[in-house]
Amino acid sequence: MTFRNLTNLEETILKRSFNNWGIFEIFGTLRILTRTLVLNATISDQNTNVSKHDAIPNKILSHNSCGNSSSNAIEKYNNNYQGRFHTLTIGYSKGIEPSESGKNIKRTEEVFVHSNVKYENILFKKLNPVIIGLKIGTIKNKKFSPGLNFAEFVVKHNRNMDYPYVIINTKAENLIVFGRDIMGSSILSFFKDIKENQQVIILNHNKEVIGLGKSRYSGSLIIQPNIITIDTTQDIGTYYLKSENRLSKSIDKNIGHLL
Amino acid sequence: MEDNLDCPVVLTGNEHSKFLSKRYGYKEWMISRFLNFIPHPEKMLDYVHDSKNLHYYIRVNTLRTNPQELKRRLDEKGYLLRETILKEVFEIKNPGFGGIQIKDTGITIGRQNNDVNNDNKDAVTTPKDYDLQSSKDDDLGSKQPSIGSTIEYLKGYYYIQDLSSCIAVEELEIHAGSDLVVLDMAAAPGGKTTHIAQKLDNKGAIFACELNSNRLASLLFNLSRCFVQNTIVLNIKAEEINELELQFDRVLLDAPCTCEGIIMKDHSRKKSRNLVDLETCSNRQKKMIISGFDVLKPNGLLIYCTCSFAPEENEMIIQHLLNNHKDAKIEPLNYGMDGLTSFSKYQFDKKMVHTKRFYPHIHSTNGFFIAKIRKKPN
Repeated sequence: MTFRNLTNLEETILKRSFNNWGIFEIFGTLRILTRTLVLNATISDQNTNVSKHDAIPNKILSHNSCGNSSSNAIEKYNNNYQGRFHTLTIGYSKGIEPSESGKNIKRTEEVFVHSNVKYENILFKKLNPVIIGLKIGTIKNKKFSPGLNFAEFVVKHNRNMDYPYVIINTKAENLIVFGRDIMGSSILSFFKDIKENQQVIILNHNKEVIGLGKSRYSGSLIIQPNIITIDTTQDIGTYYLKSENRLSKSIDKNIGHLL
Repeated sequence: MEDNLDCPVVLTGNEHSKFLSKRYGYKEWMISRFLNFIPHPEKMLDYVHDSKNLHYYIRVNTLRTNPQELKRRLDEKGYLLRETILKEVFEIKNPGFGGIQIKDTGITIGRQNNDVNNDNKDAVTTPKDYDLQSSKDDDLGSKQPSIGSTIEYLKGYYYIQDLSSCIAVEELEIHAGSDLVVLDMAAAPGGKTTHIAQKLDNKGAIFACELNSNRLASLLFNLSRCFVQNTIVLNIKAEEINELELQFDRVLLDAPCTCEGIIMKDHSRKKSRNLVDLETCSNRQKKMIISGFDVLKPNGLLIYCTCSFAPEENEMIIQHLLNNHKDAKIEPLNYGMDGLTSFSKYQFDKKMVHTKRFYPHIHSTNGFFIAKIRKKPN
């Protein structure tokens, strides 16, 4: 799938997120691109026991996005997977907006920041790059899910620390990079208006991003001793390893499909 | 020099080369060649044979931190850092218990700290002028976790990279924050790409090509870890870059090679390569350098480098470029020993002396070759 500029809807979603995290002022300074990562079918076939989150490989989609619904690749894919999905034979208008029958299909858009503004979309279409710039998160179901690189922007630009965060001690820091959750007693300080089930940035004592997590409690309940109060969702250790493995598999998979 | 090069050049061995190949575990054809063009070849074989002589370097990622701050933090953790000729590169004397995992070659260099002590370095290092380090070894302190597993590493504050590789990027003449368009023709795992990005201060643009999809993952990982925002990664054959109709201010060709220069880190390469491999690499390098030069803007710079000693992968490739492009001009480099002006029956361009070679036993780096080529203005 080719990289492209934001649609109006995506721009609104991202502006809202940048604003919520207190870095709205940098939105205009960044060149932001998106790329469709996967299509998720919302209806699954009970007989074949296919999960509703099964994905179509990117390269297959990219064929579809370049033209109309009669792409050979997508036909081949549909033939191979006949019966698995009910709504896969839909067409897309230039890979951006789903057609009428595609409303049941949910897409995940990867969001990238690139520092060079002089290249146009047309060049990216021609080059078909693997990656442009830095991935900062994903948009799914009209919601932006920040990644660790987005958190880096937040920490760098929101100097007042006016965002949900917890600062943890060194012992916890070393555990979190291996994917462990956070005990209340490991938290040195926290954002006072933290809410239950809210995404938080996990910082070490140097106020550096170590991970992202989800709060189980609100306010000062977050520091209750001897229980897990923050679930770690991403961290700088396993995040990169998972990312590396996933990318490796996905690239090989895509190349296999191209052949 | 005519372009009709016999590649590779086969040199006849003798009793001495047989003895050395048996003693150090190399194929004899390699030794007989080394004896012809490597300074103090026996010293090098002896030096490379002993893993205690391995040197480790880290490059500070100035996109994320500065050398003083990183040095302070790693000092606090007990790592001994020594300055080098490049201000953002440190030699690390105690890279950690368990050693460094060199993933791309699949090698683990497992050693304890005290093994790093370089007692016999002076005995084999000649001459002093070529020594790239600013200081000598000290007491190495206590055992450390691997330098590749610190929080600072995961945060992308530094990159574990040989000094010679850093010099190659240094020679690209990229001034801080300049708006240059740079091509990295064989980018994975991203050491030089991330270095270029920090030189550009995330400005300009880097087109990073990598054909091998298995190696792409490591490139993407390192770009993300080092917070690089100005790169466009392409999964294409670098030789075909001219089909994209782009022009570049700088081209870096760290060419795929036989890797003779990293035998110290991967002993299997003493025997795993043959003359056909050398020929294959050499032929591909010729195609790559021509393609890279074709897409260079007038007055642009191309840096060609390999981690090989073989003249067929180094001087002969540069000579091939000179023979085919009259607007290619070799420029002098600041570090290393002079390139070869002749090899076997071949005489190279006089300016080949400006290309530079690095030897483990002389420079305390990987074996490396760098050439700097400028495209003459129209």
